[in-house]
Amino acid sequence: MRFPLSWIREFAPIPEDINIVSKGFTFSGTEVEEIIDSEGETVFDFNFTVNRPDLMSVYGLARESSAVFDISSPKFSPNPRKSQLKIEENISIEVLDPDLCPRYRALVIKGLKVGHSTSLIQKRLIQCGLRPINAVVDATNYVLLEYGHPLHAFDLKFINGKKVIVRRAKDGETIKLLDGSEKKLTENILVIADEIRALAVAGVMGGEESGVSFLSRDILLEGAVFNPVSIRRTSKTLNIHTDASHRFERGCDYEGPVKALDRVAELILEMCGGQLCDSDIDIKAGNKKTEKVALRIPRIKKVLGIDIPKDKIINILEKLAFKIEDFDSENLTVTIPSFRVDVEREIDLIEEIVRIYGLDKLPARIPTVIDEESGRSESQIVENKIRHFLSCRNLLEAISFSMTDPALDPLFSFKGEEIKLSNPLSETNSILRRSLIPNLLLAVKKNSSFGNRSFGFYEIGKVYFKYRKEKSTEPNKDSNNDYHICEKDVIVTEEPRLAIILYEEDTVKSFNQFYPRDIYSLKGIIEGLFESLRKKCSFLEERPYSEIFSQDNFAKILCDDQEMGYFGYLEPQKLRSLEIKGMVCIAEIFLDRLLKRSDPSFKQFSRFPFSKRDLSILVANNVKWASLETTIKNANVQNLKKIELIEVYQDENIGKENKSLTFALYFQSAQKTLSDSEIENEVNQIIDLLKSNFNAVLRS
Amino acid sequence: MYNFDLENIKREFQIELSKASSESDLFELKGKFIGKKRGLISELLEKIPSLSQEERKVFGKEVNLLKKFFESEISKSFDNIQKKKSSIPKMDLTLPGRNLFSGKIHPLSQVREEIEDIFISMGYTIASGPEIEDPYHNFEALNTPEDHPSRDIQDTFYLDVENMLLRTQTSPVQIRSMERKKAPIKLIAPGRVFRRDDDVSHSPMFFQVEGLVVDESITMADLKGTLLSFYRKLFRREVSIRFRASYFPFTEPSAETDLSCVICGGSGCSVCKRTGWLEVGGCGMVDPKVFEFVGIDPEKYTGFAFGLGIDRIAMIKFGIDNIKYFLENDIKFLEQF
Repeated sequence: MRFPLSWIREFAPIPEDINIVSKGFTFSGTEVEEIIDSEGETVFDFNFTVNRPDLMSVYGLARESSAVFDISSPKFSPNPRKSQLKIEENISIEVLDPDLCPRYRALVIKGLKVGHSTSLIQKRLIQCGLRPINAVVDATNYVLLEYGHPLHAFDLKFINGKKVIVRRAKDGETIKLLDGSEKKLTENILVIADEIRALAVAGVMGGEESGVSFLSRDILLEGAVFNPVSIRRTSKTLNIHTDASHRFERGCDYEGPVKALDRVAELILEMCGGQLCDSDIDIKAGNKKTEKVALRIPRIKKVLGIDIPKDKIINILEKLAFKIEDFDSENLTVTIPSFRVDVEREIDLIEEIVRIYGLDKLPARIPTVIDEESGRSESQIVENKIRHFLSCRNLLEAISFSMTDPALDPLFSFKGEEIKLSNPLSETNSILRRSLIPNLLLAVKKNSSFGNRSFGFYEIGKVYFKYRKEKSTEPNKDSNNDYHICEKDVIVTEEPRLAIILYEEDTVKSFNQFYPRDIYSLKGIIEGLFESLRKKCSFLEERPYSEIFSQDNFAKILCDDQEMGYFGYLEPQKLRSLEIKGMVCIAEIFLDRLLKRSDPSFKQFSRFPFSKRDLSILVANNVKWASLETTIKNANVQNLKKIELIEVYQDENIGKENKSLTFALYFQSAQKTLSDSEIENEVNQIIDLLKSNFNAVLRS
Repeated sequence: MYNFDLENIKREFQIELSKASSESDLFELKGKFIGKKRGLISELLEKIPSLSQEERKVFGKEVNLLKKFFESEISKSFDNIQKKKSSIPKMDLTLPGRNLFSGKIHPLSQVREEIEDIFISMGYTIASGPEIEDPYHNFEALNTPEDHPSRDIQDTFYLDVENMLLRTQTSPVQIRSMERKKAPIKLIAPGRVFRRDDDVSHSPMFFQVEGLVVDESITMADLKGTLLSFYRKLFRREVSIRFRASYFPFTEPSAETDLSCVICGGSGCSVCKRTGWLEVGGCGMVDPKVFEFVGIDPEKYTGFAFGLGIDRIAMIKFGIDNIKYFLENDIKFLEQF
């Protein structure tokens, strides 16, 4: 909100140096956002905080200046000349909803000639960002800027039955507003009406019909106080935000209508002539009690940590127009001026004192309080470990939006219903992700299109979904998931996940690449990760959740018999429709059960050496390594400690339906060095097992 | 008379030695012939007590000679194998190394972890909470009623689940922590927050850290000292801070914090827009109404709270000029940190 300094100076002797003025306001809570030069005049653009509607005027700023710059308080005492005309003969006023309109004051001026306002008024309106219209409207706006209270002027001719009724609108009642828009009203909206129709939406905007024009002769000037909540709701319902509603919804001075109306009448009489009726009509829903707040001096130190001398405290409060009524050495009783709608508690006064006294005078200290919890939670520690593990495996950590594209999300989601944003910024970011993969896939698409041919990302973050509560789906209170049980038994949950995505274009071969970005590397990363968390995972080949996966290359990740995620290749044809030309393999891991640390436990180990024997066998293509390995392990070969796959080989020479597997067997005893014959026996036992179970043929 | 054919043993040894081609073969050979427990020589020596006095002398001498022979032969073979092994061809050591560790942690995670570490060193708890919130925890308990203009400061994303929203700040974590733990309390809450705002300098999702300390003798001076000490540690240099009075619904008195520009040291540069100061976040003393909402006695306890943007800190710390980079997942950006 903009105000020229020269106007403020009419009321208060603020310092000449504009930098001092700017700093003074800014550090006491009213930021000067910009200093503008308007035809040689300095105009400040203030950023008012929502709690200080009383500052949003020249007079309000002058009043504040008195404390900020320790100067004299401003005076404001308009005194319009009254005539003998009786106001009751021209208008009567009835307030039907005093809770929404605690005060309604009106003046009437008759026989005026509406022209243009003076050049000074026009210039100032423009400097403050308003448009001059006619002398009467300009005068109301001028007083709004000068004194801060919103006013409205009606053309008396258009008030049917010479009666103003302040009432709630009827449902469906319509009004054409000053901005030309036609609005349908509801009974929650307060209107200023005559006997027939609504003339204005109270505190927000006047009607087009009853507005003052160059042709108006007799006018009614309204200065009222409206309920801030009601004005705010009306402004939201009608989607209109005006200078008046902006002030009313922040709360305004109950005494504001008095001086504001007197001042506007004074200005109009000066510019347009006419006769002001003998008195006002002032309808109050009971007198407003003056607020008194007790202030304990020791409390100031308890909050601020600094001793402020009592005479300084009193001086600051008085400069801010608070009245100190009585006090002893430790207590003050402070009377709050009517314009300070934001001050009602002791803490409000403490803030007033320190912002004027100077926040820069606070010393710097360190609190000694001890929080017994302190440090990171278990899940935060493990998350960090995962981050460090994966970033040491040539993966870049990605962070994506929690919102995603509803066209991609279902391809990767297999549980819960999607949560939509009611007010998304765009359709492609209109739901909350149920999987981390879609946004990572978009990152792959972008980076591959930039010419990156081989890379890997991981991301740790939450996925979100909702489901209907049934007995069997009671949320698990021990897990790391956050959840809310909402109305109609809808449960909204957030689950921590980890996703890894590897990308490689078919042709990539690089001298220094440590590992290829393929499915076996991905599996190794997953195994290594689980191992680093001292968990053992296994894999179960399955049909994938959706078409986007390569149907034959997908497996679930299991740990302690629980499903912990999945990994696999994405189908290259589907990727091509997303304009991704390389190979993409992904893993998504459910972190909720993984975010716990466990200590390693020591096991006795053999001090005797390993003996190693290599085996090369020929088996049918469809023999799975895992079943072969399990068969050997389950046979309880006494001294067999480890099986290490060396090579998988397929070639025309051995037949298309076959593959050759070469692996090493490690034997070791806890008691002795094994002899050749002991090892030989066990190797033969294994060979026999492979022959009978897999029709294996020994190659060497 | 003893009848051990030492010559035969020697021959056997020589045959096996000629076959041994690796170190492990040699170890096996060594074990078989001169091993302390099962070696042939040991076995021979064990026989000595069964021989006559004269035989013992001769036999002992011969066996010892044989043992020395085995030892020197095995040792020679070891040397030979070692020699073969160490003859590495000349390689090009200017070739690139295998790329093991080119992964990176996201700059926002790095900064978050550093911030957390500083506060942990001062005894703080790292708290977290849900990202989907209800209006009570995100607004009402923070003294921001629905019908008050302070609601408009933060543009909120609402969800298609009745009464649910994406948190606009991490303050609801403070509320939940105070509800659970009451006082004393000393925590920071880092996390992602959402505001319906997307322009050059705003992202609809960004990262915040908020701090909260509640006890019987917490003052605004403690707030100032805490922030000063934190920023000194974070930027690893001498800095100063200043407070500007401000307004937040959940603190009173409230202030904006300015940090002396860590780029130019306060003399004025483009980052601080020639002011010498960087705006880094809001803070203040917890409003007694907030204490009432969570059931902490506002007479007995006082507390301070502060907030700062992790994105903002990362931008200052790393010299990043556009907040949008953080969530674009561009390799050229991520690999720099």
